[in-house]
Amino acid sequence: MTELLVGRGLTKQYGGMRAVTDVDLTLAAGEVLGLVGPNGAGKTTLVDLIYGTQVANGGSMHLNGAALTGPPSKRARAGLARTYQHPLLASSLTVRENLIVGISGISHASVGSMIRGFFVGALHGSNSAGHGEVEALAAEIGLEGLDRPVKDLSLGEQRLVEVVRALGQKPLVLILDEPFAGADSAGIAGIAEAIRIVKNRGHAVILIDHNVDLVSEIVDRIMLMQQGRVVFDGDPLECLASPQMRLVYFGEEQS
Amino acid sequence: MKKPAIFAATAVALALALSGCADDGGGGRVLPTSTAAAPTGAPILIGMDLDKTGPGSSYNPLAGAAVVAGVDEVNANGGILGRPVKLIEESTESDPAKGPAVYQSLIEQGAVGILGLSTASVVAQVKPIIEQAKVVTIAPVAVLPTLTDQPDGDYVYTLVNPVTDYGSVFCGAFEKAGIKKIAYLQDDSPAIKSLAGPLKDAFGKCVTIVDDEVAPVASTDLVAQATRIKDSNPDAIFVQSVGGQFEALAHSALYQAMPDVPRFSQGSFGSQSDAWALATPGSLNNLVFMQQLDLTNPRTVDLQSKLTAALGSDFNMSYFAAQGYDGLMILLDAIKTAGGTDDPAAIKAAMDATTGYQPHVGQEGFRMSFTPTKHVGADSLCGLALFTFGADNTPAGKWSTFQPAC
Amino acid sequence: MDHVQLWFSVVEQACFFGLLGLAYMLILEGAGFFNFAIGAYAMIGGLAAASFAKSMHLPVWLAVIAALVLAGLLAAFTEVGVVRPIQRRSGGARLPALVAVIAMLFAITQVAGLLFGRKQLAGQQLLVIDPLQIAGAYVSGPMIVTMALALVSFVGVSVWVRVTGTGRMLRAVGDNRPAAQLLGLPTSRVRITAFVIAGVIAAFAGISYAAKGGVSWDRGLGWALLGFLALVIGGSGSWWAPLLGGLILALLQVFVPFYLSGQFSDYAILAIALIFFAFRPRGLITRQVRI
Ligand SMILES: Nc1ncnc2c1ncn2[C@@H]1O[C@H](COP(=O)(O)OP(=O)(O)O)[C@@H](O)[C@H]1O
Ligand SMILES: [Mg+2]
Repeated sequence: MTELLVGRGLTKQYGGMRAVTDVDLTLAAGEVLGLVGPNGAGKTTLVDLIYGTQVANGGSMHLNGAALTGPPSKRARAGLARTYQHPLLASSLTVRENLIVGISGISHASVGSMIRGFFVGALHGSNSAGHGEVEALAAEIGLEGLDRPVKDLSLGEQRLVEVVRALGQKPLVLILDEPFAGADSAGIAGIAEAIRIVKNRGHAVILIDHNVDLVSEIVDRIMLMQQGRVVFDGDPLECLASPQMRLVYFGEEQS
Repeated sequence: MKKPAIFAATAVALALALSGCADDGGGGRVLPTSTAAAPTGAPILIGMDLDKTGPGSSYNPLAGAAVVAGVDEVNANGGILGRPVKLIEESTESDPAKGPAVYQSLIEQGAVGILGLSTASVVAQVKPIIEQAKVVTIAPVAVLPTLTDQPDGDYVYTLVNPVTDYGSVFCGAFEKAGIKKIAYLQDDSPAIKSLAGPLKDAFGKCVTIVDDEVAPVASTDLVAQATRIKDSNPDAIFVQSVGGQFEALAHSALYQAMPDVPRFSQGSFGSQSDAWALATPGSLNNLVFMQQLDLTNPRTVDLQSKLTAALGSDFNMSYFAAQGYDGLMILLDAIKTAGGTDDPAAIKAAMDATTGYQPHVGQEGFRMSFTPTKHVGADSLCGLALFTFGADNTPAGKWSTFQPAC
Repeated sequence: MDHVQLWFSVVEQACFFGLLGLAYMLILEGAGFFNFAIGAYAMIGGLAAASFAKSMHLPVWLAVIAALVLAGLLAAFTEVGVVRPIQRRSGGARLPALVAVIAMLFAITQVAGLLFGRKQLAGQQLLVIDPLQIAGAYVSGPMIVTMALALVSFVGVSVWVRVTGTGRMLRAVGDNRPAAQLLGLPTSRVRITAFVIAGVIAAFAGISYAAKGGVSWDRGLGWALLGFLALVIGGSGSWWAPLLGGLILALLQVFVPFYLSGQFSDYAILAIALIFFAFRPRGLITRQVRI
């Protein structure tokens, strides 16, 4: 399999605190990677470095062979999409509007065309393509009630909105940060469906969770993190049985 | 931490609002030289307080340019007593606090007479200095009736009709036009507020003021005031303002509400040609306004062409120019009569003996005279004249119903 | 007598103040602060249109378009040339940007005084008609233009923010700026768009209101404060809220002089501003307000 995303020596310090230390990471096309570890292990920080939400103190990343740099907006256009542990949505806009803005907004419309859009476009009605596409995608994931304002949604539903939005951006790498937290069974099914869709497209997924049992059923590979370091990287079933696993989750003394 | 931002911003806004500035040039060119012999000898020094930057800078340069042109004219015609006249120019920026230093400086530089062109309050402040130095000081554009009063009034002179005459003129007009009830609309600028009180007192003796409206000078809508005035059902409406947009809005609204009620105006509006177009077309028709400058007076027309020749075609004839010129000429006449500049008492005596000076403002029959106890030049009310607007929102000539008598 | 004329006056002023408030709101939504230069855009619109028509003898429509373009460019410059560099240096803080746009207000005022002169100019009549008589009151051409402009602008903006991509993006940016940035929305282009649209609306409002009683270089500050108050009073919970704020200001402007005295109208506006700052800082129609 070809390597889609490669990270080398990724490091991040907050003040004197090492949140991520010297992490290497590879992600193949079509692969689903589970990023697991207890709270505070550095999982979110690691994907923050990948997505550009945080600037790394060291290391390098490549997506499809090209260096991955710059702010999140640039990386989004390069082919990354993500969800957040705490959903980032425009709460006064409806679900549909959030999806449309999020999916078509990262295009390259010029200022001129935007301004023209006000003085002539407003008369011509809607100009955004992809309404139908958004509806179909939402239906596939099981997201309903697209005309509700986001602030009326449960946390689980808001996560699902983020998932659909990220999916709509057709990313090469989809990053899901603890999507199962607060999700009901329909939500869990929707997220699993999203992962399958990306995999079928031949693209990759990074799935963060601290529930190793749940994750291991979905993912192709697991990276286990503890205190900012990767302590295991390999097959999910192997991971469950590994001493690192016991150490990390049950605090067993290392012999 | 959010509201302080607004207040800080507003404070900045207000602070910056006070920092507007304006400037206006009033340079003079030399009159065509005449054939008279060039004056020789020690120059006769005339002091001039000319405000080029302060509040008076809107009109001072107009008067100052005419004074400069007048001096050039006199020198081209042989000077005074064979001596050249020379101006010493200083500025108080219309600030009474700066008055003493500036006047002291003019006197120390040897001024034998002073033209105080900036506001009357400056001259009022320096009266004791003038009294002590015995330097005849004329405030040509001042209309403050008490400026020449004692104490310290022996050497202070004004020329034109003081504001106390305005009441008499309009009362005469109201009587002639059969007007018994008027509505009064004024702006709230300090200048107009100080003029309005005495004028209303004077009107109280000849008409009833049935409605008295004061509106902010920066108003952008006067429909409320117009409606109230209409409800008071007056015979006529009297508008007093600094002019400009305020007065244009006033007449637009009043015309709309009561097109047939006669209107009178006192202030600068009659001379503000730029402001007339701001009023609704036709709304100024038949508006009666009072003005010192009367272009039907042949002397005024003569002076206008003389100053235009001297100052260039963008010179605009104004009451201020005429008064600056008249102030200079009256002062120089007195110096000539006194026969020299050494004896201040002689110059003052010559001033006090001035009779029948023919000024370049007011109606043709207007004259100015002084006596030891009359230091206000105007001999009659006809230093003032009434004019009307036509249907095209520009002045159409003198008002046929009534004029102040000479 | 009935006072229909007063009510027309109220509506006309409400429309003008409301339009200025709407311009504020567009920029508040897109950039998160109050752009006090709105008052200057309105003044420049009225003054430039009048000056272009008078001294360059342009036909009225051409003078108006030129003035609108000028105001739009000024607004874009405010964002690109002033606010953006300052916010970049101050890490996106709002207070330096606020001070910068107030400085901009005064800079435009002074430059306008130099370029177009310090005299009042008569506004341009966009609709030359004899005043209509409605219920015993006169409705003038400028009044109709101002009302029509308000109708078109408020409907236009509230439709635009719902149905167009850019409009929705503006709302998304206004709702959750960090999210919009992380998502990769073109927030800076959305901001410029908001500035330009606001500048053009303010300038058009200035042009139509100038037809009533003229315009001069020093009008910007007063208009800036009135538009600001229209938004503060109305709130930013609805795109129509500034019109409500404008209506309340206009009611004060007209009925305080009518029932009390003309000298009180400024105090009445000051009083209502203080009341709102103290007791209802988010205005009448609220959602969430960032200052
Ligand atoms: N923005 C931040 N500033 C300072 N410390 C942070 C920041 N984000 C995360 N951390 C710290 O970094 C460590 C790793 O956090 P995080 O990546 O969120 O862990 P996880 O997602 O695995 O729970 C934690 O100790 C956390 O407190
Ligand atoms: Mg986390």
